[in-house]
Order: sequence, then structure tokens, then C-alpha cells
Amino acid sequence: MNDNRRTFLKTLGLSSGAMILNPFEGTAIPAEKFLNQPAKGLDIYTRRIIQTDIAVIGGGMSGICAALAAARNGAKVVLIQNRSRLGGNASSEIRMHISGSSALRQVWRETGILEEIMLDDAVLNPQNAYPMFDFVMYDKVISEPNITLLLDTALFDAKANGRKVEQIVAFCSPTEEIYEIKAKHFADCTGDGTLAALVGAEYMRGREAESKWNESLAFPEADEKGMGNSLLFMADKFDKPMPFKAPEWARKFQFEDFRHRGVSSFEYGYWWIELGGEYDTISDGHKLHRELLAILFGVWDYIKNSGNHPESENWALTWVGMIQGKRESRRIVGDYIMTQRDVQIPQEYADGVAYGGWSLDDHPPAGMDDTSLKPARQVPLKGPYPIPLRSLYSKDFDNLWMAGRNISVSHVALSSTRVMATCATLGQAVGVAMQHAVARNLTGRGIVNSPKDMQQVRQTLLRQDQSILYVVNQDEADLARKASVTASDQDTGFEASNVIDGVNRDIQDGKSHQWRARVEGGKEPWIQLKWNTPVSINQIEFTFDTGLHRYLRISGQAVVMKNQIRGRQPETVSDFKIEGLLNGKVVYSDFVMNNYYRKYVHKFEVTKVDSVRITVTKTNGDAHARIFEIRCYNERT
Amino acid sequence: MLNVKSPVSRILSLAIRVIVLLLWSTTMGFPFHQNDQHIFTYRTDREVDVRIFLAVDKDELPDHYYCDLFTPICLEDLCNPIEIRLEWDLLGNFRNYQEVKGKEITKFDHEPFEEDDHKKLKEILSDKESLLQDYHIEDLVDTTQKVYSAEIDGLTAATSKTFADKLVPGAIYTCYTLWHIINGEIADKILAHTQANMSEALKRKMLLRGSVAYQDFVLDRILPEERKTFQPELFELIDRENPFIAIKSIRHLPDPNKLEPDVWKLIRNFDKYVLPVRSAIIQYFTRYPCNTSALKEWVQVLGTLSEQQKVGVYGIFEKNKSQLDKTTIAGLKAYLERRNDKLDGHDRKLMLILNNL
Repeated sequence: MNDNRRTFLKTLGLSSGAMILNPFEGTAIPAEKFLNQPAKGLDIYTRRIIQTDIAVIGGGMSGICAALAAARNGAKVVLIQNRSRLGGNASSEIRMHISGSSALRQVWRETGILEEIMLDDAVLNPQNAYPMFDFVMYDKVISEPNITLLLDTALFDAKANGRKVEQIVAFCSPTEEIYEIKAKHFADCTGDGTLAALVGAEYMRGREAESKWNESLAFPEADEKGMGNSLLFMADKFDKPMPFKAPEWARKFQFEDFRHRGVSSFEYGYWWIELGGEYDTISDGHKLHRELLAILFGVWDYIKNSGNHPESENWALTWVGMIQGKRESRRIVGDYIMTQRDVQIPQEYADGVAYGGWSLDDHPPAGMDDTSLKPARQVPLKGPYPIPLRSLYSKDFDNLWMAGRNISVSHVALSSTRVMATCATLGQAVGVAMQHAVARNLTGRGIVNSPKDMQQVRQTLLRQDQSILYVVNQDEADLARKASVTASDQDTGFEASNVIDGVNRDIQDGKSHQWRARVEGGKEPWIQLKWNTPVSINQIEFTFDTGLHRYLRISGQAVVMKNQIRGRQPETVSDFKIEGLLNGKVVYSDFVMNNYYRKYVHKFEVTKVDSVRITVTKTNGDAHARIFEIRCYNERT
Repeated sequence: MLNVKSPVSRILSLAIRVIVLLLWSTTMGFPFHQNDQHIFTYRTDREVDVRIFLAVDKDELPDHYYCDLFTPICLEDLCNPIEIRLEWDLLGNFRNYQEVKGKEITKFDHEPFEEDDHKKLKEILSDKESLLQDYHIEDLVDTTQKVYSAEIDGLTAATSKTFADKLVPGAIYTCYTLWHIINGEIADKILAHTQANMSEALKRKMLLRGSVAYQDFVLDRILPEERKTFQPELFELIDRENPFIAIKSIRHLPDPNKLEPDVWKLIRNFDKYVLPVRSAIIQYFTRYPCNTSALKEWVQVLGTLSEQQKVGVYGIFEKNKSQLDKTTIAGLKAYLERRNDKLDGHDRKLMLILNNL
């Protein structure tokens, strides 16, 4: 009995702080449940009531990052996901690669929690197996004690009172449980904006007219169309001919259908197997799924059996998606609606909390219903653009936030903000902001209207490796900023003082913002921070170089994987000695091995030092030790 | 006042127009042919009148459109004005530009255009989906730089490569101004003019002497009753290298029985076509009834077919089995016997059909 109870409480995350208000429901299965007459109707379901700080609805990239960010900053979080695995469009169920600002071909790969997950995946999953990527994400979430993860749990109802969302109701079919989750703040990371719709928050659908926001990429008249859903597949090459017989219901395609849609590689499906822009991408989902399967098998039938691709003879399908990836559905209206110009011309918002960098990439609604049209038009961007916090909470509710494709953007702006790397950073932004709101009893609007709170949120995000354009480290608690910095060696343009210049990455301003020294041939360069008067510290934080100019995302597509480095990124410092000194004597020392993260946080007992010395002994392959930033804190425990 | 109806006044009027045009074109330094027709005049947003002419070829058929342009380029008229002849094809697509000797296009600070710059500019002007369509000029150039530096018409160093690749560095005003003149309203008017003046002769010219865009344009407008008329052009296009045009042409061919014996060359040359065209040829002969002569031609090429193509052609034999004469049946049987132990189900099925005839 006790074992059962413990197991159950763990499942519900009671140990992580979520509170079950009906403890009797939370005990182990009472014997009478089996012995007595079974309940009928809805009573057969067990009703669980959970109270928590933050409920995140949706376990895609946005939801994962929102939950992790809020939980790591101290909030109790319940994360519900309607599938049995995390990752949404990026999961092994859909397998879309996580696109973002790397498309600018500059230095703008996203950082923060997403980077941490991507680095883990590159190192722990060098075999590039999608199911293992699922577990990289699962491990991140399940290892965070402040998160209660409820998989296979779907939102179906919500209650609001005035400007406050009070609770959501969710259902877990395999366990026959109904959850009533009451929270101080809610994050709608459903993609479809389901929670916002349930509580009656204003949202947008379809495409706005050109005149509405003066968007050249919009159409003269507003309509109810949009971008469609895509269904992917994977295929492998075998050492013998692999015949394929299409199901009777597969669509038929011929050569002309591929004039604007290349089929030159077979290993990973095609994003342009797309349909739904002229349907309701939510309520027509069943029909769309069936049609997309008919298209997918029709395309493969063409490849295998048209006679036009004899090179496909030994290729066979090894995985076919059973859930389509969605690009567009509801967009919830926030205090600010981003439009085409916000994406094209970077605006320096006081509440910028993330950035995007994917091109304006709209798709014609007809998708595969009209193959005479090109499947997309991409308008490139000059550079990354900030995304304001005002687009990440509902204007109608004080405690309803959103991250993902359902944020407050026009259809045109969505064509850029919708990609998953951007969505992940929006999740982190919302996670930090929600926790700040919980801790100080604030609303999203309250944070934005308070420069001090906005500054705190942005500084927390920056410290936790979220990149925010135009924001530098101004954290008063960071003692490193008051130190003087020297080093045993430094390359020209990569001076030691760069580690406290406030910028922790290449921002293409002509400066490196990085200390760099050769580490080859027995050389073990060191960098030292020195204070005029001793300081007490218990935490040193590092930002290393992980080659943000490269792409780093799991993908089924060979060309996407081609220039990636799977495994540890060579630029990153691997092994290093940390020494705290007082009056020339070492009062603290430790040696760190096998690091591959960009952000590394080292914690220890509070120690009084007048200098800190970092000696790099090994990188993950590069000839130089590279450090972007060092921060020192005396954190209250 | 001249009476426009009198022959003298008509001659005088024409003479004046020619003199004015000649003077104008002489000033601009471009050749002008008497037969070229002024089609319309367009006023740019810089208040410059652009006179669009239609150039005709030696057969008096429309060849291309052009204008001689003299316009300021930069904001606040900082740069030299540009003097250039712009040419459109018959569909309103950018065709080319001609520079005036001594007044060649330059970048900001008068650096000459290199060959690569011309190549890039022509690529940009040809791209109807260029990003220039959706950016304001003031958002493209780096106005944070000093006005008289070489950077006024440039991009910041931090501009993404994907973006910078779509522009000629140091000549963004030129790219922007020319792109909007070429791909704006003028292009639509040119297309409308061509459409309104299509003739059979022009269609033939566009099919055989034009770009893929011309071929697509005309092929999309051939009516079923015109298919026989354009038969020579369709056959010619099938033999050319663009498989999309070849297949579109095949789809337009009328009943093969009406095209004998020319149509047989599609079978005789079967293995010379690329795979998608071969598939389309089989589909074409499957769509219509085949007579004995056509079936005989297919027997001759059986040995060159892939397995998939073979199945398609067997389908043609089965569908038209009543047209198989003794010689053809004998030829088919001989072919099947040569396959001997490699006979598959499709071969056996055909053998059965032949034996039952």
C-alpha cells in the first residue's frame, strides 16, 4: 500500500510541490474500488485536483522551455502534454527540424535552454535517432524537481473569472483521470491557442488584408486561409530492390507536379507535402490527415513507380508520420501585434525578450492541391529582430501567457516567428516572466509597465543564456563586473577584459566579446579576475563558445546534417581548473572535466577571495581556449 | 491647325514624331528603328515620363519592348542620374539593359560596375520575387553611415548573407529604382499589350524562338482546336531539352491517328528522350486508340524499354489487341520467346492474350 502511495504521489509530482487538494483521491487504489459495484458514467474517471504556481499547456519546444525556465527560477510548474512524448513538431512523431535564426547564415543560432538541449542531443544522440531525441527532452523535464509532467493529458475545458484564468481541466485517457489544475499563471503553448479560445480571449485567424497593417506581403482582401500542415516520412536505402505498392486511396502524381518541388533526395520527406491552408487546420484535422497520407503515399508512388526515378529502386519507407505538423491556426491578441515591419526592420523594444531570424516565409494555402504554384516564397531578412513581451501575453487576461506559433503576430509576421527555435526562446522568455510575476504578484502588463521589473526579467534571461538584442549584462549582483581581468595569454582582438564586457556572444559588431588564448602544445592559459577588496562568492558562471555560426539541429535530411558537428562542439572548453585566491593563497580549487555546454554554472560553499583564476587545460578540439563571459555571485541559498 | 485626316498632315505629323524621337534617342545615344512603335508612356514616382516602345523584328513581328530612361537614383539626388536603355520581353519580364557609352552605371562614389556586378544586377532585375518588392528603400540602405561616404548606398557589415546575396553592394539605389520600374506597372501593361496582340505567327515565333517562359505562356493558351495547327511546333518542342515543355507539348498532341506518320518518331526515338518524357509518350499512346502501324512501331522498340515502361507498352497492346495483325503478333511472340527463362507475369499475360487471338 505505501509503495503504491509513494509511486502515485511521485507521478503527480506532489514531491515537487504541486498540491493535491483532494488527498483521498490521491491515495493508493482503495480496495472497495474493485470490490464494490463499479461506478458508472463519468464517475469511472478519477478526478485529481492540483494547485500549482504555473500551468504550461503543451509540451512542444515552447512549452518545454517555458516549464524549464519557470521551474529553474523557483516556480512550481505543471506541464501537460496531449501526446506520450515531448517535442511537438520536433518530436519523433512529426520530425520537423528546429529551424530558426541560423537561416541568416551569420552567428545567430539561438542560445539558452534550446542550446542546452541541442548540445545534449548532439553529444548524447550522435546516432541522430529521433526517438532518442525525445528522451533528451524527456530527461531535461523529468530531471527538474519543480516540474510535474503529465503526458497523454489533453486540455478540454477551462474556467475564468473576470480577467483571471482560474483553472483548466484536462483528461488522461490511458489512466482514466480528469485533472483540475488551478494555477496562478497559465501558459498557452498549445500552438492552436486552445486555452485562450476556451476562456474567450481574443484571437486572430486567417490572413489580414494588406491595408490593415500596411503589409506588402499581405493580400488585398482578408480571408480565412493560411499556411497548411505537413506530413513527413523517412526512407532508407537497402542493398536490394525494394518494390512499393501504393494503397488504392493514394493520390496520383505526375512529372509536372514536381516542377516547383524537388524530389532529388529520398531519405527525409518533403516539407511541401502540405495541405490545409484552405481548410480549418484544427477542426478539419481528421480529413487533412487522411488527405496528407494520400498525398504522401502518392508522392512516394511517383518516386518508386513512375519510372522517372530508377535511382529509387533500393529505397523504402521506414517511417511515416501519423500526425501532421501545423504551421498556423489561432494567434492570440496581446498588448502588441507584431507585423511585417517588426520582422523586417529590427525595433529596439524596451520589452524585447527574444529574437527571430527566419525569413518571411509564407506558403500558398492550396499546398499540394495546386502544384502549379511554388510551395513558398521566402523574403530574406537583414538580420535578427527582437520580439517584445507584449506579444506574449493575452491582452484580455492578467495571467494568460503564450509562446509558440500562437503569439500576437499578424499572419505575415507569423510566417517568420512560427519556426521552432524562435518558439523555444519565446518559451524561455515566458517562463522567466511568469515566475517573476508569481514571485511579485504581477501581471504581464504590470511587468512591461514597470521598467525595474522589465529590467530584472531581461537580466535574468540574459544571465540564463537567452540572447536578447541590444541588452548587455547590467546585473548588479554579478561581482565579476567589478573585477579587473588579466590573462597569461590573449590573442589580439580577444582580450581578457572581454569576459566582463557584458556581451556573451558574437553580435556582429566587429568585436569578438571573447577571451581567446592558445591551448596547444602543453600550454595551459589562465585568466584571472581580481578585486581590490575581497569578495565572498559561491557561484561562478561561464559562457563558452559552441560555434553559434553553425547549424546544430537533429534532422532526417542529409543535407541539413551535412555541415553540423554531432558530438561536442570543438570550440568549447572541456577541462579547466578553478581557483579562488586570497592574499596569494589558494583558498578554493576544483577541476571541471568533460564540459560541452555553452553555459556552465559552478557552485560551491561561500568563500572569501580577492581573485579567481581559471586555467584551461583542454578544449573539445579547438586550438584555442575561448570564454565569452565569466560571472561571479554570492547566491543566497 | 493641321487636319489630322489630310494625307499631308499625316505625313507631317509622322515626320515630326520621327524627328522628335530621333532627336531624343540621339540625345540618349541609343539606336532607334523607324518601325518601333510607341505603346504607352508611364510616369514614375520621380515624375519622370518613360516612353515604352515595341521593337519589331524583320518580319514585323513583336520582338521586345524597351524604354530609354534618364532618372535620378538616390534619395536627395546625391548620386549621378542614371541613363540607360531597359528592355522587356514580350511578357513583361526583364530582358536586358544597354548602357550609354561614357555614362556607364557606377556604384556610389563612382566606382565602375564590374562584370560580376552586371551579372548580379541582371539576376536581380529578372527576379520578380526579389526582396526589393517588399522593402522600403530607406530600410535597405545603411543611413547610419555618413552621407558622403561610400557606405551611403551600402549595407552594414552585419547584414545577413542571405540578404546581401540578393543585392549589388554599393548600388542598392540602382537595384531598387530599376527593379521597381522594370517589375512594376509597366510590366503588367506590356503583358496586356502582348496578350491583346497575339497572332498565330507570333505564337509560332514565341514557341520556337523564345524562352521557356514564352513556350509555357503560349502552350497554356493553345486551344484544343488549334492543336493540329501547331503540330510542327509541338513536335519540335518535344525534341528540345526542357522536359516540362516537352511533356506539356505531348499533352497538347491530338489523336496520334491524325498525326501519322510524323507521330511515329516519338516511338522510333523513344530511347533518346529523358525518362519523364518517355513516360509521357507511353501515357499519350495509352490515352488514344492505336492502329496497326503504331503497334508495329512499338514492337520494334520493346528491347529498349525498362520493366516499368514495358508494363505500360504491354497495356497499349492489350487495349488495342484487335489492331494486332499477323506480322505484329509474330513479332511480339518472337520477342517473348527471346526472353525465354526471364518471362515474368506481364510477359505471360501478354503471351496468353496473343495465343487467344
